Amino acid sequence: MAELNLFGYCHGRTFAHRLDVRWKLACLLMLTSAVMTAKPAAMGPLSFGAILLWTGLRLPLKPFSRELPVFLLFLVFVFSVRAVSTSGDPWFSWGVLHVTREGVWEGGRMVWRLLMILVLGLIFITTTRPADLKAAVQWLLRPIPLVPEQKAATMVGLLVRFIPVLHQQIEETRSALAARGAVSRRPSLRHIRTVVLPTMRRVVLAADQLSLAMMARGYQEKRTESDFYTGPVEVLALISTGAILVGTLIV
Amino acid sequence: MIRLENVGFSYGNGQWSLKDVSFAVPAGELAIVAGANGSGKTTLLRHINGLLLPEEGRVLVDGLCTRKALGEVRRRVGMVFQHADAQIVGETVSEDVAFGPENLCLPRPEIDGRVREALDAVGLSHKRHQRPHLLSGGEKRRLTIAGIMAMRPKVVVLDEPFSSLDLFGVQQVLRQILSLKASGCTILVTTHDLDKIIIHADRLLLLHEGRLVAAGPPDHILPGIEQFGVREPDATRCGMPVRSWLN
Repeated sequence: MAELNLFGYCHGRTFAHRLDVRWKLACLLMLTSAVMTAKPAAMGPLSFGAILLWTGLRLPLKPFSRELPVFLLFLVFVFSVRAVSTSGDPWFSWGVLHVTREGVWEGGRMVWRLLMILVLGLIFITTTRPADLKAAVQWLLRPIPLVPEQKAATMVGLLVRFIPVLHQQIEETRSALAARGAVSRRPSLRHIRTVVLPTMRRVVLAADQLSLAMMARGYQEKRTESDFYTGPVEVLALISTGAILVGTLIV
Repeated sequence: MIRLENVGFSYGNGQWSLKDVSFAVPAGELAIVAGANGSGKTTLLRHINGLLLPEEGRVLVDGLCTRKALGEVRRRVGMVFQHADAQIVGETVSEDVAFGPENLCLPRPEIDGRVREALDAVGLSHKRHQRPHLLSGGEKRRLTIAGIMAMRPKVVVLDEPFSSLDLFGVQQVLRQILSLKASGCTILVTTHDLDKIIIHADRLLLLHEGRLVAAGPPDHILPGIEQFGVREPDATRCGMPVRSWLN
Protein backbone atom coordinates (compact mmCIF):
# COMPACT_ATOMS: atom_id res chain seq x y z
CA MET A 1 0.00 0.00 0.00
CA ALA A 2 1.37 3.36 -0.94
CA GLU A 3 1.47 6.04 1.71
CA LEU A 4 -0.05 9.47 1.35
CA ASN A 5 2.48 12.13 0.57
CA LEU A 6 2.34 15.85 0.78
CA PHE A 7 2.59 16.78 -2.86
CA GLY A 8 -0.62 15.39 -4.24
CA TYR A 9 -4.27 16.14 -4.67
CA CYS A 10 -6.54 15.06 -1.78
CA HIS A 11 -10.16 14.66 -2.74
CA GLY A 12 -12.63 16.72 -0.75
CA ARG A 13 -15.87 18.65 -1.03
CA THR A 14 -14.77 21.92 0.56
CA PHE A 15 -15.21 25.31 -1.11
CA ALA A 16 -11.46 25.29 -1.93
CA HIS A 17 -11.88 22.02 -3.82
CA ARG A 18 -14.89 23.33 -5.72
CA LEU A 19 -13.45 26.75 -6.50
CA ASP A 20 -12.80 27.32 -10.21
CA VAL A 21 -9.06 26.73 -10.64
CA ARG A 22 -8.47 29.98 -12.58
CA TRP A 23 -9.81 32.09 -9.73
CA LYS A 24 -8.15 29.87 -7.17
CA LEU A 25 -4.84 30.60 -8.88
CA ALA A 26 -5.61 34.34 -8.81
CA CYS A 27 -6.45 34.10 -5.09
CA LEU A 28 -3.18 32.28 -4.44
CA LEU A 29 -1.22 34.99 -6.26
CA MET A 30 -2.93 37.75 -4.27
CA LEU A 31 -2.41 35.99 -0.93
CA THR A 32 1.24 35.28 -1.77
CA SER A 33 1.72 38.95 -2.65
CA ALA A 34 0.10 39.90 0.64
CA VAL A 35 2.48 37.63 2.57
CA MET A 36 5.53 38.97 0.72
CA THR A 37 4.62 42.62 1.34
CA ALA A 38 3.10 42.32 4.81
CA LYS A 39 4.61 44.25 7.71
CA PRO A 40 5.14 42.37 11.00
CA ALA A 41 1.85 43.71 12.38
CA ALA A 42 -0.05 42.10 9.51
CA MET A 43 1.81 38.78 9.61
CA GLY A 44 0.04 37.64 12.79
CA PRO A 45 -3.52 37.92 11.40
CA LEU A 46 -2.37 36.45 8.04
CA SER A 47 -0.81 33.45 9.79
CA PHE A 48 -3.91 32.97 11.91
CA GLY A 49 -6.01 33.07 8.75
CA ALA A 50 -3.79 30.50 7.01
CA ILE A 51 -4.01 28.13 9.98
CA LEU A 52 -7.80 28.58 10.09
CA LEU A 53 -7.99 27.83 6.37
CA TRP A 54 -5.84 24.69 6.73
CA THR A 55 -7.87 23.31 9.62
CA GLY A 56 -11.17 24.41 8.09
CA LEU A 57 -10.37 22.47 4.92
CA ARG A 58 -9.57 19.39 7.06
CA LEU A 59 -6.40 18.73 5.14
CA PRO A 60 -4.25 15.89 6.53
CA LEU A 61 -1.61 16.98 9.03
CA LYS A 62 0.35 13.73 9.21
CA PRO A 63 2.09 14.02 5.81
CA PHE A 64 2.85 17.66 6.57
CA SER A 65 4.52 16.86 9.88
CA ARG A 66 6.43 13.98 8.27
CA GLU A 67 7.82 16.17 5.49
CA LEU A 68 8.37 19.30 7.57
CA PRO A 69 11.95 18.41 8.66
CA VAL A 70 13.07 18.56 5.03
CA PHE A 71 11.71 22.09 4.71
CA LEU A 72 13.07 23.03 8.11
CA LEU A 73 16.57 22.32 6.81
CA PHE A 74 15.96 24.76 3.97
CA LEU A 75 14.48 27.35 6.33
CA VAL A 76 17.42 27.00 8.74
CA PHE A 77 19.74 27.60 5.80
CA VAL A 78 17.82 30.74 4.74
CA PHE A 79 17.77 32.01 8.34
CA SER A 80 21.50 31.41 8.82
CA VAL A 81 22.46 33.20 5.59
CA ARG A 82 20.30 36.20 6.52
CA ALA A 83 21.61 36.27 10.07
CA VAL A 84 25.26 36.51 9.03
CA SER A 85 24.89 38.52 5.82
CA THR A 86 22.79 41.43 7.12
CA SER A 87 24.86 44.31 8.41
CA GLY A 88 23.98 45.92 11.75
CA ASP A 89 24.51 45.68 15.48
CA PRO A 90 26.64 42.54 16.17
CA TRP A 91 24.98 40.08 18.56
CA PHE A 92 27.75 37.51 18.72
CA SER A 93 30.68 36.39 16.55
CA TRP A 94 31.95 32.98 15.55
CA GLY A 95 35.28 33.21 13.77
CA VAL A 96 34.81 35.42 10.72
CA LEU A 97 31.03 35.16 10.95
CA HIS A 98 29.19 37.97 12.73
CA VAL A 99 25.56 37.43 13.62
CA THR A 100 23.70 40.74 13.85
CA ARG A 101 20.44 41.53 15.65
CA GLU A 102 19.04 42.95 12.41
CA GLY A 103 20.09 39.76 10.59
CA VAL A 104 18.27 37.55 13.10
CA TRP A 105 15.17 39.75 12.81
CA GLU A 106 15.31 39.73 8.97
CA GLY A 107 16.01 35.99 8.88
CA GLY A 108 13.07 35.30 11.20
CA ARG A 109 10.73 37.39 9.05
CA MET A 110 11.92 35.71 5.85
CA VAL A 111 11.45 32.22 7.32
CA TRP A 112 7.99 33.15 8.53
CA ARG A 113 7.04 34.40 5.06
CA LEU A 114 8.41 31.27 3.37
CA LEU A 115 6.53 29.04 5.79
CA MET A 116 3.32 30.92 5.03
CA ILE A 117 3.88 30.63 1.28
CA LEU A 118 4.56 26.92 1.74
CA VAL A 119 1.24 26.48 3.57
CA LEU A 120 -0.66 28.44 0.89
CA GLY A 121 1.03 26.45 -1.87
CA LEU A 122 0.16 23.19 -0.17
CA ILE A 123 -3.46 24.23 0.21
CA PHE A 124 -3.53 24.96 -3.52
CA ILE A 125 -1.86 21.66 -4.48
CA THR A 126 -3.93 19.46 -2.20
CA THR A 127 -7.22 21.00 -3.35
CA THR A 128 -6.50 21.18 -7.10
CA ARG A 129 -6.67 18.28 -9.53
CA PRO A 130 -3.68 18.29 -11.92
CA ALA A 131 -6.12 17.98 -14.83
CA ASP A 132 -7.81 21.23 -13.74
CA LEU A 133 -4.45 22.95 -13.33
CA LYS A 134 -3.48 21.86 -16.83
CA ALA A 135 -6.73 23.25 -18.21
CA ALA A 136 -6.17 26.55 -16.38
CA VAL A 137 -2.61 26.93 -17.72
CA GLN A 138 -3.96 26.24 -21.20
CA TRP A 139 -6.66 28.88 -20.72
CA LEU A 140 -4.16 31.45 -19.46
CA LEU A 141 -1.72 30.85 -22.33
CA ARG A 142 -4.34 30.78 -25.10
CA PRO A 143 -4.34 34.55 -25.81
CA ILE A 144 -0.55 34.68 -26.08
CA PRO A 145 0.51 34.36 -29.73
CA LEU A 146 3.13 31.79 -30.82
CA VAL A 147 2.86 29.88 -27.54
CA PRO A 148 1.73 26.25 -28.02
CA GLU A 149 -0.64 26.36 -25.05
CA GLN A 150 -1.67 22.70 -25.23
CA LYS A 151 1.94 21.47 -25.18
CA ALA A 152 2.89 23.86 -22.38
CA ALA A 153 -0.16 22.91 -20.33
CA THR A 154 0.55 19.22 -20.83
CA MET A 155 4.10 19.76 -19.57
CA VAL A 156 2.85 21.58 -16.47
CA GLY A 157 0.25 18.85 -15.86
CA LEU A 158 2.85 16.10 -16.20
CA LEU A 159 5.27 17.97 -13.94
CA VAL A 160 2.65 18.28 -11.19
CA ARG A 161 1.61 14.66 -11.75
CA PHE A 162 5.23 13.57 -11.49
CA ILE A 163 6.14 15.29 -8.20
CA PRO A 164 4.42 12.61 -6.06
CA VAL A 165 5.95 9.89 -8.25
CA LEU A 166 9.40 11.38 -7.71
CA HIS A 167 8.80 11.57 -3.98
CA GLN A 168 7.54 7.99 -3.90
CA GLN A 169 10.61 6.75 -5.80
CA ILE A 170 12.96 8.48 -3.36
CA GLU A 171 11.13 6.96 -0.38
CA GLU A 172 11.14 3.48 -1.95
CA THR A 173 14.87 3.68 -2.66
CA ARG A 174 15.54 4.84 0.91
CA SER A 175 13.38 2.04 2.33
CA ALA A 176 15.16 -0.54 0.16
CA LEU A 177 18.53 0.74 1.39
CA ALA A 178 17.39 0.90 5.02
CA ALA A 179 16.16 -2.70 4.76
CA ARG A 180 19.73 -3.67 3.90
CA GLY A 181 21.26 -1.66 6.71
CA ALA A 182 22.17 1.55 4.86
CA VAL A 183 20.53 4.18 7.06
CA SER A 184 22.83 7.18 6.65
CA ARG A 185 21.20 10.27 5.14
CA ARG A 186 24.29 12.47 5.24
CA PRO A 187 25.17 13.97 1.88
CA SER A 188 28.28 12.24 0.56
CA LEU A 189 29.60 10.67 -2.62
CA ARG A 190 28.45 7.28 -1.32
CA HIS A 191 25.00 8.75 -0.61
CA ILE A 192 24.82 10.05 -4.19
CA ARG A 193 25.87 6.70 -5.61
CA THR A 194 23.50 4.63 -3.50
CA VAL A 195 20.44 6.90 -3.35
CA VAL A 196 20.49 9.52 -6.09
CA LEU A 197 21.57 7.36 -9.03
CA PRO A 198 19.13 4.47 -8.37
CA THR A 199 16.36 7.01 -7.76
CA MET A 200 17.08 8.80 -11.02
CA ARG A 201 17.06 5.49 -12.85
CA ARG A 202 13.72 4.54 -11.31
CA VAL A 203 12.27 7.96 -12.08
CA VAL A 204 13.28 7.68 -15.74
CA LEU A 205 11.74 4.19 -15.92
CA ALA A 206 8.56 5.44 -14.21
CA ALA A 207 8.36 8.33 -16.69
CA ASP A 208 8.76 5.87 -19.54
CA GLN A 209 6.01 3.63 -18.16
CA LEU A 210 3.71 6.59 -17.60
CA SER A 211 4.14 7.79 -21.17
CA LEU A 212 3.48 4.25 -22.47
CA ALA A 213 0.32 4.02 -20.36
CA MET A 214 -0.86 7.38 -21.68
CA MET A 215 -0.17 6.40 -25.28
CA ALA A 216 -1.92 3.05 -24.80
CA ARG A 217 -5.04 4.92 -23.72
CA GLY A 218 -4.98 7.13 -26.77
CA TYR A 219 -3.54 10.30 -25.21
CA GLN A 220 -3.60 13.31 -27.52
CA GLU A 221 -3.34 17.05 -27.05
CA LYS A 222 -6.87 17.64 -28.29
CA ARG A 223 -9.07 16.05 -25.64
CA THR A 224 -12.01 16.82 -23.41
CA GLU A 225 -10.79 19.33 -20.84
CA SER A 226 -12.11 20.28 -17.42
CA ASP A 227 -15.12 22.58 -17.36
CA PHE A 228 -14.75 26.10 -15.98
CA TYR A 229 -17.43 27.74 -13.90
CA THR A 230 -17.64 31.21 -12.39
CA GLY A 231 -20.29 31.66 -9.71
CA PRO A 232 -20.92 33.57 -6.48
CA VAL A 233 -18.31 31.54 -4.56
CA GLU A 234 -15.59 32.54 -7.03
CA VAL A 235 -16.60 36.22 -6.85
CA LEU A 236 -16.67 36.12 -3.05
CA ALA A 237 -13.25 34.44 -2.92
CA LEU A 238 -11.75 37.06 -5.25
CA ILE A 239 -13.23 39.97 -3.28
CA SER A 240 -12.06 38.50 0.04
CA THR A 241 -8.48 37.86 -1.07
CA GLY A 242 -8.37 41.24 -2.82
CA ALA A 243 -9.47 42.89 0.44
CA ILE A 244 -6.78 40.98 2.35
CA LEU A 245 -4.12 42.18 -0.11
CA VAL A 246 -5.28 45.82 0.08
CA GLY A 247 -5.58 45.62 3.88
CA THR A 248 -2.06 44.24 4.15
CA LEU A 249 -0.67 47.02 1.97
CA ILE A 250 -2.43 49.67 4.08
CA VAL A 251 -1.32 48.20 7.43
CA MET B 1 -10.54 -9.21 -35.71
CA ILE B 2 -6.82 -9.56 -34.92
CA ARG B 3 -4.45 -10.70 -37.62
CA LEU B 4 -0.66 -10.85 -37.52
CA GLU B 5 1.19 -11.58 -40.75
CA ASN B 6 4.85 -12.64 -40.50
CA VAL B 7 5.55 -10.15 -37.74
CA GLY B 8 9.17 -9.64 -36.73
CA PHE B 9 10.54 -7.24 -34.13
CA SER B 10 13.89 -6.63 -32.45
CA TYR B 11 14.79 -4.26 -29.59
CA GLY B 12 18.12 -3.64 -31.30
CA ASN B 13 20.17 -6.08 -29.24
CA GLY B 14 20.88 -8.35 -32.19
CA GLN B 15 18.14 -10.81 -31.25
CA TRP B 16 14.62 -11.13 -32.60
CA SER B 17 12.03 -10.66 -29.84
CA LEU B 18 9.40 -11.76 -32.33
CA LYS B 19 10.15 -13.60 -35.56
CA ASP B 20 7.78 -14.66 -38.30
CA VAL B 21 4.71 -14.63 -36.05
CA SER B 22 1.41 -15.17 -37.87
CA PHE B 23 -2.01 -15.94 -36.45
CA ALA B 24 -5.58 -14.71 -36.45
CA VAL B 25 -8.12 -14.38 -33.65
CA PRO B 26 -11.74 -14.03 -34.83
CA ALA B 27 -14.08 -11.46 -33.24
CA GLY B 28 -15.53 -12.39 -29.86
CA GLU B 29 -12.94 -15.04 -29.04
CA LEU B 30 -10.84 -15.30 -25.91
CA ALA B 31 -7.30 -16.31 -26.83
CA ILE B 32 -4.44 -17.03 -24.46
CA VAL B 33 -0.83 -16.29 -25.33
CA ALA B 34 1.37 -18.57 -23.24
CA GLY B 35 5.12 -18.84 -23.04
CA ALA B 36 8.06 -18.80 -20.68
CA ASN B 37 9.60 -15.58 -19.39
CA GLY B 38 11.24 -13.67 -22.22
CA SER B 39 9.34 -15.57 -24.91
CA GLY B 40 7.91 -12.33 -26.36
CA LYS B 41 4.40 -12.26 -24.88
CA THR B 42 4.46 -8.62 -23.76
CA THR B 43 6.17 -7.53 -26.98
CA LEU B 44 3.40 -9.26 -28.93
CA LEU B 45 0.65 -7.48 -26.96
CA ARG B 46 2.30 -4.11 -27.47
CA HIS B 47 2.17 -4.69 -31.20
CA ILE B 48 -1.58 -5.21 -31.10
CA ASN B 49 -2.13 -1.90 -29.28
CA GLY B 50 0.34 -0.15 -31.58
CA LEU B 51 2.77 0.74 -28.80
CA LEU B 52 5.34 -1.10 -30.90
CA LEU B 53 5.33 -1.28 -34.67
CA PRO B 54 6.65 -4.36 -36.45
CA GLU B 55 9.94 -4.25 -38.32
CA GLU B 56 8.72 -7.05 -40.53
CA GLY B 57 5.21 -8.05 -41.53
CA ARG B 58 2.08 -6.26 -40.35
CA VAL B 59 -0.54 -6.22 -37.61
CA LEU B 60 -4.19 -5.76 -38.52
CA VAL B 61 -6.95 -4.99 -36.04
CA ASP B 62 -10.49 -4.89 -37.36
CA GLY B 63 -8.93 -4.63 -40.81
CA LEU B 64 -6.80 -1.59 -39.86
CA CYS B 65 -3.02 -1.76 -40.09
CA THR B 66 -1.25 -0.45 -36.97
CA ARG B 67 1.35 1.24 -39.13
CA LYS B 68 -1.21 3.20 -41.17
CA ALA B 69 -4.05 3.87 -38.72
CA LEU B 70 -2.40 4.00 -35.31
CA GLY B 71 -4.94 6.34 -33.68
CA GLU B 72 -7.90 4.32 -34.90
CA VAL B 73 -6.28 1.07 -33.74
CA ARG B 74 -5.69 2.48 -30.24
CA ARG B 75 -9.34 3.50 -30.05
CA ARG B 76 -10.29 -0.10 -30.79
CA VAL B 77 -7.74 -1.85 -28.58
CA GLY B 78 -7.63 -1.44 -24.82
CA MET B 79 -4.52 -2.67 -23.07
CA VAL B 80 -4.16 -3.70 -19.43
CA PHE B 81 -0.51 -3.63 -18.36
CA GLN B 82 1.19 -6.25 -16.21
CA HIS B 83 1.96 -3.74 -13.47
CA ALA B 84 -1.24 -1.91 -12.63
CA ASP B 85 0.66 0.97 -11.01
CA ALA B 86 2.30 1.75 -14.33
CA GLN B 87 -1.08 2.23 -15.97
CA ILE B 88 -2.67 4.54 -13.42
CA VAL B 89 -2.49 8.16 -14.56
CA GLY B 90 -5.31 9.80 -12.57
CA GLU B 91 -5.18 11.40 -9.13
CA THR B 92 -8.44 9.76 -8.10
CA VAL B 93 -10.11 6.51 -9.14
CA SER B 94 -12.83 8.22 -11.18
CA GLU B 95 -10.32 10.62 -12.77
CA ASP B 96 -8.22 7.67 -13.88
CA VAL B 97 -11.20 5.94 -15.50
CA ALA B 98 -12.14 9.22 -17.23
CA PHE B 99 -8.68 9.58 -18.79
CA GLY B 100 -9.42 7.30 -21.79
CA PRO B 101 -12.84 8.75 -22.66
CA GLU B 102 -11.36 12.27 -22.39
CA ASN B 103 -8.84 11.27 -25.04
CA LEU B 104 -11.76 10.22 -27.23
CA CYS B 105 -13.00 13.85 -26.96
CA LEU B 106 -16.40 12.75 -25.66
CA PRO B 107 -18.73 15.34 -24.10
CA ARG B 108 -18.43 15.62 -20.30
CA PRO B 109 -21.88 14.15 -19.47
CA GLU B 110 -21.09 11.05 -21.52
CA ILE B 111 -17.68 10.71 -19.86
CA ASP B 112 -19.32 10.90 -16.44
CA GLY B 113 -21.85 8.26 -17.47
CA ARG B 114 -19.18 5.91 -18.77
CA VAL B 115 -17.08 6.36 -15.63
CA ARG B 116 -20.06 5.53 -13.41
CA GLU B 117 -20.94 2.50 -15.51
CA ALA B 118 -17.36 1.15 -15.60
CA LEU B 119 -16.85 1.62 -11.85
CA ASP B 120 -20.16 -0.09 -11.12
CA ALA B 121 -19.13 -3.00 -13.34
CA VAL B 122 -15.89 -3.60 -11.46
CA GLY B 123 -17.36 -2.85 -8.03
CA LEU B 124 -15.29 0.24 -7.28
CA SER B 125 -18.01 2.89 -7.21
CA HIS B 126 -17.63 3.38 -3.46
CA LYS B 127 -13.93 4.22 -3.93
CA ARG B 128 -14.31 6.63 -6.82
CA HIS B 129 -12.81 9.58 -4.90
CA GLN B 130 -9.92 7.61 -3.41
CA ARG B 131 -6.32 7.91 -4.56
CA PRO B 132 -5.61 4.95 -6.87
CA HIS B 133 -2.25 4.24 -5.26
CA LEU B 134 -4.01 3.43 -1.98
CA LEU B 135 -6.03 0.58 -3.51
CA SER B 136 -5.13 -3.07 -2.98
CA GLY B 137 -3.46 -5.06 -5.77
CA GLY B 138 -6.74 -6.65 -6.90
CA GLU B 139 -8.56 -3.32 -6.82
CA LYS B 140 -5.83 -1.65 -8.88
CA ARG B 141 -6.12 -4.39 -11.50
CA ARG B 142 -9.92 -3.91 -11.58
CA LEU B 143 -9.39 -0.16 -11.88
CA THR B 144 -7.18 -0.63 -14.94
CA ILE B 145 -9.88 -2.83 -16.47
CA ALA B 146 -12.49 -0.15 -15.68
CA GLY B 147 -10.28 2.42 -17.41
CA ILE B 148 -10.33 0.24 -20.52
CA MET B 149 -14.05 -0.57 -20.29
CA ALA B 150 -14.90 3.14 -20.24
CA MET B 151 -13.29 3.46 -23.68
CA ARG B 152 -15.57 0.68 -24.98
CA PRO B 153 -12.92 -1.02 -27.11
CA LYS B 154 -13.60 -3.88 -29.50
CA VAL B 155 -10.42 -5.67 -28.45
CA VAL B 156 -8.94 -5.97 -24.97
CA VAL B 157 -5.43 -7.28 -24.40
CA LEU B 158 -4.32 -8.12 -20.87
CA ASP B 159 -0.71 -8.69 -19.88
CA GLU B 160 -0.40 -11.23 -17.04
CA PRO B 161 -3.65 -10.10 -15.41
CA PHE B 162 -3.45 -12.63 -12.56
CA SER B 163 0.11 -12.01 -11.40
CA SER B 164 0.49 -11.17 -7.68
CA LEU B 165 -3.22 -11.65 -6.96
CA ASP B 166 -4.79 -13.76 -4.22
CA LEU B 167 -7.71 -16.12 -4.87
CA PHE B 168 -10.37 -13.43 -4.55
CA GLY B 169 -8.36 -11.05 -6.69
CA VAL B 170 -8.03 -13.70 -9.43
CA GLN B 171 -11.76 -14.41 -9.28
CA GLN B 172 -12.67 -10.72 -9.52
CA VAL B 173 -10.41 -10.15 -12.52
CA LEU B 174 -11.58 -13.37 -14.18
CA ARG B 175 -15.21 -12.26 -13.82
CA GLN B 176 -14.36 -8.95 -15.51
CA ILE B 177 -12.63 -10.73 -18.37
CA LEU B 178 -15.60 -13.04 -18.92
CA SER B 179 -17.97 -10.10 -18.69
CA LEU B 180 -15.98 -8.29 -21.40
CA LYS B 181 -16.14 -11.43 -23.55
CA ALA B 182 -19.89 -11.70 -23.00
CA SER B 183 -20.26 -8.11 -24.18
CA GLY B 184 -18.67 -9.10 -27.50
CA CYS B 185 -15.05 -8.03 -26.99
CA THR B 186 -12.21 -9.98 -28.53
CA ILE B 187 -9.78 -10.77 -25.76
CA LEU B 188 -6.11 -11.70 -25.72
CA VAL B 189 -4.54 -12.67 -22.41
CA THR B 190 -0.88 -13.43 -21.80
CA THR B 191 0.01 -15.79 -19.00
CA HIS B 192 2.28 -18.66 -18.11
CA ASP B 193 -0.20 -19.73 -15.44
CA LEU B 194 -2.82 -21.54 -17.51
CA ASP B 195 -4.74 -23.09 -14.60
CA LYS B 196 -6.66 -19.91 -13.92
CA ILE B 197 -8.17 -19.24 -17.32
CA ILE B 198 -7.62 -22.09 -19.78
CA ILE B 199 -11.14 -23.51 -19.25
CA HIS B 200 -12.61 -20.26 -20.61
CA ALA B 201 -10.26 -19.94 -23.61
CA ASP B 202 -11.27 -20.56 -27.21
CA ARG B 203 -7.71 -20.58 -28.50
CA LEU B 204 -4.20 -21.06 -27.16
CA LEU B 205 -1.13 -19.51 -28.78
CA LEU B 206 2.26 -20.75 -27.61
CA LEU B 207 5.33 -18.56 -27.96
CA HIS B 208 8.89 -19.78 -27.57
CA GLU B 209 11.93 -17.54 -28.04
CA GLY B 210 9.88 -15.08 -30.10
CA ARG B 211 8.38 -17.66 -32.41
CA LEU B 212 4.85 -19.00 -32.48
CA VAL B 213 5.31 -22.74 -32.00
CA ALA B 214 1.67 -23.76 -31.67
CA ALA B 215 -1.79 -22.26 -32.11
CA GLY B 216 -5.21 -23.82 -31.87
CA PRO B 217 -7.82 -25.17 -29.47
CA PRO B 218 -6.33 -25.58 -25.96
CA ASP B 219 -7.02 -29.33 -25.83
CA HIS B 220 -4.76 -29.85 -28.84
CA ILE B 221 -1.90 -27.69 -27.57
CA LEU B 222 -1.72 -28.60 -23.87
CA PRO B 223 -0.05 -32.02 -24.14
CA GLY B 224 3.71 -31.42 -24.35
CA ILE B 225 3.45 -27.73 -23.47
CA GLU B 226 5.91 -28.09 -20.54
CA GLN B 227 8.89 -28.43 -22.89
CA PHE B 228 8.34 -24.73 -23.64
CA GLY B 229 8.50 -23.64 -19.98
CA VAL B 230 4.75 -23.46 -19.35
CA ARG B 231 3.23 -25.66 -16.67
CA GLU B 232 0.36 -27.83 -17.86
CA PRO B 233 -2.75 -27.45 -15.67
CA ASP B 234 -2.80 -30.03 -12.86
CA ALA B 235 -6.19 -31.35 -13.93
CA THR B 236 -5.14 -32.21 -17.49
CA ARG B 237 -1.88 -33.72 -16.20
CA CYS B 238 -4.05 -36.12 -14.20
CA GLY B 239 -6.40 -36.72 -17.11
CA MET B 240 -9.24 -34.88 -15.39
CA PRO B 241 -11.44 -32.06 -16.73
CA VAL B 242 -10.24 -28.54 -15.86
CA ARG B 243 -12.49 -26.62 -13.45
CA SER B 244 -13.07 -22.89 -13.46
CA TRP B 245 -11.62 -20.80 -10.65
CA LEU B 246 -15.03 -19.23 -10.34
CA ASN B 247 -16.56 -22.48 -9.04
